[in-house]
Amino acid sequence: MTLLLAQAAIGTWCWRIRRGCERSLLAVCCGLMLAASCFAASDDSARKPCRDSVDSYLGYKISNVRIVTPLSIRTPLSFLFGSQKKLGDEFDALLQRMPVKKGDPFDRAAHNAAMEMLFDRYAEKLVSPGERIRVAFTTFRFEDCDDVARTISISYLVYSTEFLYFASRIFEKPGDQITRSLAPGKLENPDSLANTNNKLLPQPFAGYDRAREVFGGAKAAFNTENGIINKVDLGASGSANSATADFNLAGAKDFAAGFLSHVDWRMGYNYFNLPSDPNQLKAGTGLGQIFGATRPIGSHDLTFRFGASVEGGNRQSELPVSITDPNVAQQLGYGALKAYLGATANHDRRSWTASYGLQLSSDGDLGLNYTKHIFDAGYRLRYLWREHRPFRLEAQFTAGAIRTRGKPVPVAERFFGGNKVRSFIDGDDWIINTAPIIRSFPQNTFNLVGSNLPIGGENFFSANVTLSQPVWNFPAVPFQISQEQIVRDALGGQLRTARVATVKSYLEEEPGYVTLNKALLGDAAPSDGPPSGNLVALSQAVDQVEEKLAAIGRQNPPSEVSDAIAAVSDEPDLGADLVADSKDAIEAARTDTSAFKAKVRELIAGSNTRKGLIIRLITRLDNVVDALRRAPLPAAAQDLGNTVSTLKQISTSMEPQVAKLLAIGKVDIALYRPVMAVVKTDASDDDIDGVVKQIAATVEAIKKRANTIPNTGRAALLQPADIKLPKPLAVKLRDGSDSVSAFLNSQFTQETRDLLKAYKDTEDPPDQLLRALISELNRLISGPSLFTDDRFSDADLTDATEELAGSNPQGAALIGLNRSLLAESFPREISKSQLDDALDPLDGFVKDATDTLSSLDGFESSDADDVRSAVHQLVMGFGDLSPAVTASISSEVRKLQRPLTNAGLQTEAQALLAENAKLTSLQKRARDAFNSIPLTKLEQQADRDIAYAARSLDVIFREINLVEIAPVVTFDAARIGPGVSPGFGKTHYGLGAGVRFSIVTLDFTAGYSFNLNRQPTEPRGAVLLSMTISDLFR
Amino acid sequence: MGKCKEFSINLAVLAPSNKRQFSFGMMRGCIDDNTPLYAMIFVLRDLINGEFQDRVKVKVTVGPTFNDKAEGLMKRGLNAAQLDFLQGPLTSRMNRLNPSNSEVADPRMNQLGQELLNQK
Repeated sequence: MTLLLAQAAIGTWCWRIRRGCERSLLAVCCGLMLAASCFAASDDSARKPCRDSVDSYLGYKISNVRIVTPLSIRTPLSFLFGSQKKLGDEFDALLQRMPVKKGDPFDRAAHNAAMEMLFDRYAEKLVSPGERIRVAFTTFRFEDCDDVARTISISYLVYSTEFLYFASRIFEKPGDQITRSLAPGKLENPDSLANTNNKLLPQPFAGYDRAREVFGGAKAAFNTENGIINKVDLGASGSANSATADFNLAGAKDFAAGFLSHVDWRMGYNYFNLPSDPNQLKAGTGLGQIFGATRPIGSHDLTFRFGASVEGGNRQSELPVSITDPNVAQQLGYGALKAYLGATANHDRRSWTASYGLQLSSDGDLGLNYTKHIFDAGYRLRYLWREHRPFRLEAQFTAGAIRTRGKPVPVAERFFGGNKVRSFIDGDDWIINTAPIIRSFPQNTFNLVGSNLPIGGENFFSANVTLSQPVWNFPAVPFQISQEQIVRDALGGQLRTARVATVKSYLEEEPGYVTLNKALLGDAAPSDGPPSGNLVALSQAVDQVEEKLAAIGRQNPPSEVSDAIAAVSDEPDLGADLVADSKDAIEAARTDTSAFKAKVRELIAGSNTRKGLIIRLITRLDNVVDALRRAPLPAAAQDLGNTVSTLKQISTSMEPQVAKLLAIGKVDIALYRPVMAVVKTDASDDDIDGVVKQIAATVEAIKKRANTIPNTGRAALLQPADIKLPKPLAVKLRDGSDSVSAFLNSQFTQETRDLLKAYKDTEDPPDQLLRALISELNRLISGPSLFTDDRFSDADLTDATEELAGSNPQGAALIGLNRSLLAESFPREISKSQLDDALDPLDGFVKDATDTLSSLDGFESSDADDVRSAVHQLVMGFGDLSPAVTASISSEVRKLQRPLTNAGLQTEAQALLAENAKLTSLQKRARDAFNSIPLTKLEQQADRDIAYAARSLDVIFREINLVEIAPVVTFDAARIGPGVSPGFGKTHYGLGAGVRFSIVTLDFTAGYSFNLNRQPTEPRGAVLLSMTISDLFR
Repeated sequence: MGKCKEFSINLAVLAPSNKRQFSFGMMRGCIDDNTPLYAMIFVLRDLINGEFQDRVKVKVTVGPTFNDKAEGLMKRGLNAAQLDFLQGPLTSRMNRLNPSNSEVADPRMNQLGQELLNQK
């Protein structure tokens, strides 16, 4: 598996760095290799290669059945995945229920049922709020295939981000959590892997920093749902020359509606003692804090965040030199009021953040000693120039200043830079950097403002850029799935369905709908007046019908009456049981809110293909009443007739209300006239419909000419690659079950016929047989015309081929004819030509466009959402995930230029290009017209919901990798000031390189950054080490 | 056309409002090595009284008689009338089928499938 190459690459890189004296990186590299081994593709047991064909293993005995996930693999990191046992138990239970069992003969129906069971399991799963998104992909593979013993093993492979989410939560820093979910919310399922309530969650950690050297520590958190305080967390770390500790009590509240999304608060204490070569900075701080965030606003999800903190304690430093500046103090009391406001916004694969923080500080008394101003801004970009290889740019700019008021500022409060972020408010999920970041300096060592004066600065700025580009990746969704056109097209269809369903669900919350819903449901209490037009009355009437029909049946009525009653319970043509179906529909409408509208429609209004159930029931009951009268059974006829009249009254009074209900949210079709004027209009051919027809005609002309084109056209002999499905072809030619196969078989040499006779279906045809068949078919293609009416009567020949057959072709055209005859007789098995294969995708898209355009005939009488879906599919699409059909046509036309030119079809290539230019222009006009259609608020909300789902699908299918390796380049510029000696207070530059190893969204980065213009006492550089979560699902 | 290989993919997304979830699923089954069958499921769930409950659930199976209209439905998506037809007569018929009848084998289901394609 290629993952082993990743291990080798990391190992080689580590060895080189070891020669450069950074031994500490070895520890990091070993960690990366362990992580890579977690995702080694298979366990160590030997595997015999198995065939792809499922049919070839039918009847084999199943020697083992497994369900395999990434967490099934035992690795040194298994202890982190405490859910392994939980998942193992769950999958054991699933295996018990699966229809595929060890020891049974392998059966396709059972295998399909097993796949469907796994599919349904993940379709039912809910997303935990903090998770935001869940993806599950299932497939299978055969293992241990033994054709002699006729045994196989089957592994059902499950890849789900459910496991990875839990794993990433272990590593998740608070600052990442807020970007994954603005409101983590409750985790309802106590068994959910992501449920962290009432659990102590210890997280050990270790690291290395040139300043702190090797340090280690632990964090622990305890979450509970109850009370104002619902989280307690504490942490500590230490090394030979440093220590940190913190303790916090926190609470949070989420808001279901309104401007605010989330507020949390905390009280606590934190302490740090950190080296700042040659200084030592110490602080102890008690704090009370509150933070919050708004809901996303607008199409760019603009979100505002705010926070405030009241703090008190002390600040100390241990400088080895004395300070003469009266504005700087080594030890001082500390009191501060901090506040900040920030915002984030996203668009596509870009995001922006900006924050401003203000700190008002004293030395512990009530006077104001100094103020701090901080500005922090960031920009993140992922540019997907190639699927699953996003180029990443991260840029950050930070600046700060301290304004004194003639009173001293503690050294520990000044600006010390380095490779570690110092948060403006400790413990806040929203990280605002409050110190210059320059990754070529260890933590707090960017501190010189003068010769021998490591006291930090009063002002600073820093600008940081990180670039990375994956060079190796293992995509989350395999290419053979994600590149299949039908999968992409179906995703587009699903998203369009989702939009319709979402609008429907929003409409059901509208006041008008709710009122009609209540009126149609009716009051359970019976009334004495005339029957009401509601479901209660309808239910009673249908019950009476059922009783009366049963009573009539018990009296052994004449056959005409019995037949009429039978037609009620088994409706001719449609097969409905009209009474039972009506009762079920009424019950469903009364109990299932989501099905109310559909059931009421089924009962009363019906559809364009069948009338409502009640209408049809009434018609059948009228027949029963007529039969009773003719029987003659006048009393029964009268009795039933009265009930039918009641039913008619109820149905008649319900009809207008149901019509109103169905009309809620209907969009005026006239709004679509401007876009239809571009897409399809009778007024002119200068519309998308006209251009598509021109392109289709050009493609047909190319296909016609292909008959005489050698090499890539149809006047070319068969190559092995032209046999698309060798096995079914061999079977057909062996069995001669149709006239063409029988004829061809009769023309083969005895040797070839013997090879065919000996061929068994259970495996793919051997090379010798394939070579023989190709040779024989080419001999026949090169000979006289194969065509006779009788021989090809069952084949679906194109008009062009039939025309060619009747024209007595010679030379290249004759070869083209014979090949076309074979290809059209075996359309799935034999390729028509390389040129036809190249044209196939364009042909497919043109056909899609033609079908969609024909569905828009007479659009004025259609529903607006029908027209909308068709136009969306035609001209809008969902970006590169599921492109518009016209965009796909354009793309294929461009791809075809070279093959057409190479085949000598320059004129046709130019014609296609010209038609494509027209199509592109019309598509743009159509898109503008589509985007100008006014939308209701509900539609706008639905579009926002679906846009988020589409973006997420786009990331899953086109970007996300299970594992990824990317080289990283960093560049930093930073300055602290003011300099008090010449040569100080200047801008420093750092240039670094490293490698990032990512598991889904979890990034490990390691490298080294060099100081480009260091002072003699400053370090050469510093190690880059980080672990972050990249939030791809914004 | 290459060999048919079974797979399924499910995506569940929590909308930014945190009150709504969408679940999309697609499954490819195979009748034989060369004949695919597609099933798609879409579920919309709303947060009601602190729990996510199904509001809309749509499951569509396309194939094995993989005709052009069915493929067109899969690519274009369902309209509101088709959604109602699925929840209405199609669900009613499915509830009538006993476990030994398959949806594919029942002629009334095939008829309803054809009607679904023609809903406007």
